[in-house]
Amino acid sequence: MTNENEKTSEDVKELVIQRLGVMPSNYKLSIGSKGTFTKNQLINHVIADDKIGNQVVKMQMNFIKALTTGKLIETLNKNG
Amino acid sequence: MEKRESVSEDDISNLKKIFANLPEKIRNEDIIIVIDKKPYTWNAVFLEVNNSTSLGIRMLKKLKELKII
Amino acid sequence: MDKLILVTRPRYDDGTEYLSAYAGEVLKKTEKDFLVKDFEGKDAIKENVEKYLKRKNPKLLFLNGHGNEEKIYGNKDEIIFSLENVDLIRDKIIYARACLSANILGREAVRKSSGCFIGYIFPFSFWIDDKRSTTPLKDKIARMFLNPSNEIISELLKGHSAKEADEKSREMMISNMRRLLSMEQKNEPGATGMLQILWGNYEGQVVLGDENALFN
Repeated sequence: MTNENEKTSEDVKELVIQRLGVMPSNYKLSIGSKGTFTKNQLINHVIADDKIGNQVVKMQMNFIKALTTGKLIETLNKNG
Repeated sequence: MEKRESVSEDDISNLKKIFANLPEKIRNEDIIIVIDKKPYTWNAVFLEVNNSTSLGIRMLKKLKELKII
Repeated sequence: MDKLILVTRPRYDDGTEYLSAYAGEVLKKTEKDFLVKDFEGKDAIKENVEKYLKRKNPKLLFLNGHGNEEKIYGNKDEIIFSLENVDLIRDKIIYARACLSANILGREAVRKSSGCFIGYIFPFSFWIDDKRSTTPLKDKIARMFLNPSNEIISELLKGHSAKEADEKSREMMISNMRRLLSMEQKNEPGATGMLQILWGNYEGQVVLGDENALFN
C-alpha cells in the first residue's frame, strides 16, 4: 500500500479518515514521541501525508492485516 | 440481470473466509471500505457481496486494490 | 548490590504526564521493599542519571519518556541514553517505555551483555480521555493501555523473569482486548479504535537479551 517514502494512496487515506472519524471527540491519541492528538488533528495529519499521518495509516493498516490474516483472533483465543 | 465485472469467485471466497473469522463487534462496527465517500462495515460489505450487487463488486475490487483481501 | 531501581519520569506534555503518573503508581506499591532512585520531571536529565548509574550501579532501570530507535529522552526531549553512552546500560534489566528504542538502542544494550531490554519496536501509544487529562490515574481509557505496561515492572519487582513479566503483560493486553470486543457501542463508541492501538502495543513489545534475567 505504501512505505514511508511513498505518498499514501487517496483511497487508503479516505478509509483511515473514516475509521478515525468514529472516535469520540474527547479522546486523544498519544503516539510515542510524536505527541498527543485529537481525532481531527489526526485526520489533518493523514490528509497532509506527513510523518505523523503516515504513522497513523501504518497503525491502522497493520490492524486490518491482523484481522484479515486471523492473527488477532488467534491471539485472543490463546489461553482459553 | 447485471453483468458481473472482473472479480473472481476466489475473491468472494477469500472475503467470506476472512469474514467468518471476525469477531462480531468488528463485523458490526469496523469500517473497512469507502465507496463514493460512504463508509461501509464488514457486515455491509458481506451483505452486498453475498447478494451479488454491483456495489458488492465495486467493494471487492477496491478491497483487492487496497490489498485488504 | 542492593535492590536498586533507577526510574526516569519526565513530565512536560500529555504523554509524559501520563507515563509519569502511572509509573509513580506502580512504584508507590513497592517503595518499602526496594531502593528507588526516582528522576522525576526536571531531574530526568542525562547528567543526573549518568552520575547515579556510575556511582550506584542499579540493576533495574525503568525508563519512561519519549524515544526513537537510537535514543531515550528525558526532560523536555533532552537525550539521556543513546549509542554514545549505551555501555552504561549493559548488564542491566531495562524496561523502556519509550517508543521504538528496542529497534537499535535496545539491541546494542544487550549485545555482549548479561542483561535484557524490554521495550518496543513500534511507537508505544495510548488513547486518553481529555476530560480526565489532569487526573491521569482516573482515566479509565488510558488505564487499558498503561496497566498492562505497568505489569511488566510489577512482575519484575516480584522476582519474576523478564520473559514472565512480558507474558503477564501480554495476558493483560489480551484480557483488555477481549473486554473491548465485548463492549456495547453505545457505551463505548471508541472500543474498536482502542483495540487497534492496544494491538499495536502487543505486537510491538519485545524482550531482548537474556529473557531469564531476574531482579534479585
